[in-house]
Amino acid sequence: MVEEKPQIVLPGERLCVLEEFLSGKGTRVSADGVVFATVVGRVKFDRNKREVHVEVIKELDNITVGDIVLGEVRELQSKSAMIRILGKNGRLLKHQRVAALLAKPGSKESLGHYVSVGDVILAKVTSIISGLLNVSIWEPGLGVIQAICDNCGSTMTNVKKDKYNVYCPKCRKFDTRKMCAHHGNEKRLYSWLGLMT
Amino acid sequence: MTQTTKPKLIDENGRRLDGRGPTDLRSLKIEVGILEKSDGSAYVELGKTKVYAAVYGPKEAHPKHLAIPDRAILNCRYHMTSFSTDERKILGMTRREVELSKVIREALESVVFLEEFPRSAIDVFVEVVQADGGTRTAGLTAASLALADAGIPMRELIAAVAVGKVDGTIILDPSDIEDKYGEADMPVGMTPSSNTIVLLQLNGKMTKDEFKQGLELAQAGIQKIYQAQREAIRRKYGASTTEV
Amino acid sequence: MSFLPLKERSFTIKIMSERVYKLLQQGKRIDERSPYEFRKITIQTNVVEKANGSALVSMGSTRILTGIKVELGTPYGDRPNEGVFSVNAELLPLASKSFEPGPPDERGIELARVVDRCIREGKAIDLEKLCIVPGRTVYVLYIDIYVLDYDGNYFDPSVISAMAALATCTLPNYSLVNEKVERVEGEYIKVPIRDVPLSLTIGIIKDKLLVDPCLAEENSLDTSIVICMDSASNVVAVQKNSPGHIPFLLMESIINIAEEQISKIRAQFKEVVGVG
Repeated sequence: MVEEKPQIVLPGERLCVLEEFLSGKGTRVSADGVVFATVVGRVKFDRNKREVHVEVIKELDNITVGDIVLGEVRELQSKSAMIRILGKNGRLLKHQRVAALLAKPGSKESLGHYVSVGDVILAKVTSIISGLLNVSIWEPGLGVIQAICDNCGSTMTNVKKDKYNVYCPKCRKFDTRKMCAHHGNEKRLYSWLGLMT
Repeated sequence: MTQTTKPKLIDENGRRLDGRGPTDLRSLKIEVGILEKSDGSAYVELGKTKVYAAVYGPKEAHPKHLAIPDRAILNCRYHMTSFSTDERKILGMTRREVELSKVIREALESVVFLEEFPRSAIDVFVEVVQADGGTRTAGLTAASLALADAGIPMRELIAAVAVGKVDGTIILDPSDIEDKYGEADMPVGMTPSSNTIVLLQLNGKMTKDEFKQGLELAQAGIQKIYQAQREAIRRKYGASTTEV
Repeated sequence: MSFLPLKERSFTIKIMSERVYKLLQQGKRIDERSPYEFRKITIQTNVVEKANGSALVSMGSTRILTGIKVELGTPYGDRPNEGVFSVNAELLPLASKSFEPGPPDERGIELARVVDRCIREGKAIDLEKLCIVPGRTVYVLYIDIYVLDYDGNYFDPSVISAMAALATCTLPNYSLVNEKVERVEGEYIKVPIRDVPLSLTIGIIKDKLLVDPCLAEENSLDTSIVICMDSASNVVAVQKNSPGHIPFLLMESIINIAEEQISKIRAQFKEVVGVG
């Protein structure tokens, strides 16, 4: 059972003592065992978990391991790529961040075989070490959501020809990508970018 | 245009130039979340002193070499508009503004849980639109609200006010003219529940007893300001019962 | 578009731009306005008592504060009978994550100069009436513009706030006593306003036009142009304020749209400020 208090609490406001509830999200424990709020938000007492947490009024851009992020490939080398993260879990971030994408474990092929500079990708956050992000696209459902032709910069479309799976209608180049199932799905991309009306 | 002779700052009845008693605050107006494009913002009006504050972040620190691996850096800029003072202020940052940026930043650093955001930066901007005494304390009050409005975790809010000494009397919240002709000006910033001092400066002369009396007066004023901060946040976020 | 640093000009911008264009083809916009509709304007005057004149203007969530300080000074040598004004603009870092602290960059200087041209060429102020002693003492007006919140298009609300601050600005009165300029205590005069030039920013994507772009649109535009007009609909200042092409054939409709929409802004200005 979760009990919600209607009042908004402020950072520093005393919520309970540790004997009553444990400290959850948006709270901390002082040296003398008092649980206090650290953010502006609504207090929730979770009686099952015996935990109190404060639901913050504005979510921060906090990225955690396991988040699905939307990113853009900015720099590409054979074993790694620099990704600019634009959004997470279906919405844009307030502030973009940088992450590293490493080549497929055990693969001999260069990363350029799977992604290209400019591509918009869906990736999963695999680790965060003191603020440095690593992402992966080596799972089903992840990969390039919109491929960009590295020759002319136009959007590429799905195709099936020999080993190729993307095609540039403008300069007629065939190429390969590690695509996700939604490749070329405009609606999905617009909703990520907050462009739906 | 400016007065050169010192006016009488406290009359026979103990009233100040603007009619206040020695321990009265000026009229206080606080709003949060008023600047759309910032991550958090606040506006504080104390008499004629008018201050905006806005927060951006936490975001990636740049340039990269400034990033600290185990915590966020906090940047603060206190700035005044050119028309905020009686004489037009020159454009750009004065030495005074640089110093006040530093003391405000250090006050904020003492309450924000910076270690939760390694390699990040949090930018705080304080803009004084009109200066009539107490701008750094109003700025600090607004900045701490802007941080809270941005959803940034902190130990506690900060409320701040100045006390002064004019015509031998310790007064709360001196206005510009009381500051100019008074004997002392002491801005104080505190965390209102745990009662710790996070900003303290003194410009002028006070006896030991007056100093103590001043701190107590500031503490009382800070409680009033804290109530106004609470009300402002509840006005903005307390009304709706469901999250958007 | 120039408002974004190079590293931000990426493919996602292109996707956004395509989206904005597709909506425009259907006569729609991402914030549900019609293409030639400007955002809600609010004007508050005398918000800073220490300034001689001031105005806080918002256009949507773009918010501009202008204050005017008056000093006495000497006129320019070639115009001994005229008062002097100077416009300065600062894009405060408080207003947007794309604004950096520091001295005004090229965008701030451009904004100041466009507003300056609009006021100067629009003959907004009767400068001769700001002269106290010809060749020696005149009023000097410092018009300082601060962008407080930036959601696209800071030009139009800046012009509105500069004009609103001017129209409500009071100057201490001076008289000439025995060849000396002396303050007439307690007496104030108004800034002699001759005309109220106003501006409109029009964005261009391929063959489509939109008025008063919000930030998301501004980043998607091919280019944009600011048109300033006086009350008789004379064009008094123009600034193409970003790189890109404007098809020549679009210029006529740009001017027509500007005339129509500026007259609507003018009506609102007149209602609040009293002149226009």
